[in-house]
Amino acid sequence: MHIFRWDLDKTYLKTRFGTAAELFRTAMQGAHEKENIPGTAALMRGLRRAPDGTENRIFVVSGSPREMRSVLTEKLRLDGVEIDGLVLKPNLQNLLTFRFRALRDQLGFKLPVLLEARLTAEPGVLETCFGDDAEMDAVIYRLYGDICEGVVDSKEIERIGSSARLYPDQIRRITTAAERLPVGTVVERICIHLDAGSPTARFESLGPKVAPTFNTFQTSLVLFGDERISRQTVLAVHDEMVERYGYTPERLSASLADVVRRGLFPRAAAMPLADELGLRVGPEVPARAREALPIDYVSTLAEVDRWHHERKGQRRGAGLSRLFG
Amino acid sequence: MATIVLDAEGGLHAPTAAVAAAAIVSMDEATEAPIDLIVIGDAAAIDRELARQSHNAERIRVRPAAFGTSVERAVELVKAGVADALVTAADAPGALRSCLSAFALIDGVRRAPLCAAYPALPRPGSTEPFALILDVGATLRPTADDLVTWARMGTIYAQRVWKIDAPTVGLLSIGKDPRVGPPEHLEAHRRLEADSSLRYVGTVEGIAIPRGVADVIVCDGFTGQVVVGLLGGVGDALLNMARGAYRTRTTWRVGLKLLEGAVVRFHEIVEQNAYGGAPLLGLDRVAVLALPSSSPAALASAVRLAARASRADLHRAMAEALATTSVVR
Repeated sequence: MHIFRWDLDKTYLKTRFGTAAELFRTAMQGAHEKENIPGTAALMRGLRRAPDGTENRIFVVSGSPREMRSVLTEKLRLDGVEIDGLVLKPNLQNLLTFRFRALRDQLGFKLPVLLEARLTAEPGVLETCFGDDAEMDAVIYRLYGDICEGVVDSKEIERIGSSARLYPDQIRRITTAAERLPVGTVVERICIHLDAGSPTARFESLGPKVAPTFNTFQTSLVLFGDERISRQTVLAVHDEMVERYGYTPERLSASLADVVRRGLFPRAAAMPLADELGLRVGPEVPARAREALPIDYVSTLAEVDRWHHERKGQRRGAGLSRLFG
Repeated sequence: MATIVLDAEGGLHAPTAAVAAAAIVSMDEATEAPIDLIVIGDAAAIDRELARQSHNAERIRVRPAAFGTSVERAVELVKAGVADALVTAADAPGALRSCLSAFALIDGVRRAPLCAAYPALPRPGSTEPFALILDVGATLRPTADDLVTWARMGTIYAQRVWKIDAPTVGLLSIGKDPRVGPPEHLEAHRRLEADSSLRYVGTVEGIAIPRGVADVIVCDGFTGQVVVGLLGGVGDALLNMARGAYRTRTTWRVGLKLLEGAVVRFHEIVEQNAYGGAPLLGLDRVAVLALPSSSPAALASAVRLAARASRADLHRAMAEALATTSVVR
């Protein structure tokens, strides 16, 4: 058995909430109006059954408000996706209790949920986590894995939590769950959908388990390389992207070549798949080796914040201060 | 869709500038058709740079090329039909040599001119804020035949790429008096005046280029390159003066702040078009040569220009037009 932990917005669903109008539109959308990231429905359907025939578990932890549960459940049902659990953010409760920081914060919401959910999992079962680059999913999942492995202790959790301005009860929930967890490897892979166009180098310091991908085809290749999904699922993702979303062989070839060059999918496995799908892998380029080095979460979280701030500035375009400052 | 091969080894800031340009273009929201890129050069170095840039890997393919051979490899890819056009910031003589030896001249073209777009005031019938100058360095001493052919090619470029119905053409000179100038200019002027397929406005002075007197300005490569360098320098100087003013006095800063949109637009035009690349016209393939000092934004602009030229099927349109237009002698 294997556990897959998914985020929804910008990972499974194409969601835009950069402006108040987009946020409002997202909140008002019905299940049938919600758009998938191309290929995610086929991938998620394929995750249920492992290549060896055993049944996997799929849990969703999303920053969407709890009030959207019925819409999101309906959307997953429409896509033919079966899940084992859905945890959404208590945003109304946060608002009514004046916990305004919690409205935007992801760390204080997701980390305790992941750790508490892990307490109910069978020991030794490995997990693959899915997120996006719009917030700090990669760091949260890496921290989750490090806590499970005993690399990050309660004292360090308190330091990280304080610097991220989590509420005391959130820090308490994290340390309590962490202390009860058996120590061991939990996170096998972290798949990050590059929705915000982050440079892939931003994720290198998080170690080789983190796989930033530009589309679901690449994600499916990474999971196929990890032997977590079958070849049929890769083909289903490919077909869905071609037939429903108009992906061309050129775009898919470029995606395949990119994931091979970045060392996320072995070239030997790519060649037969490329032949079957009529794609090209491209010339051989030695992939760079990546190491899992210890990270300082406080500075990493600050770095993520800084990057998002800069990106917002870039989106506003070149102003005089950028030209002349 | 257009596939553009971008030489990552050419230019003073290689491979950073070319890779950053590819990254910028790959993230373009598709306003027309999307652009696919083949970035050619030291693949490991390209990958290292790419990892540092926001980009869309679906639109970028990386092709390795041994050191010093990337332009030739890029030319081969275009010739083989793998790519529709090439963009390089390599030294112009080498890039020109590679293109001219691999691509064929269109019938009726004796010498392929390089052309460049420069900011100009709006003109009736045109929304383009640029004038097209050709030649800007490929042929130092053209004949009257060359100048007349280039006028026709510039006209087709303005029609197909800029969508100007009836572009005006001027012959760059030192004054409005058509009797002054070297013999080939006098001869070209006489024939351009007699050519009913062109909207010839006569000889024009350098000062007339930014004033938007004509959509297409024809001149020899030596003069063209001097003009291009001068106009680029003026743009830079104006921006530097504005930068100095912005940093010197609060009141001037406030004044510039009020003009922010216009200043930013001016910067875009100067940066992307003064250095945005010069299409090499008259060949059976599209090639855009950029200055070796090109910034990523300028190279990105050159790539978009190459894509527009290739979508406009420029070389075919030129071949047809030159074949059907009678030569006035």
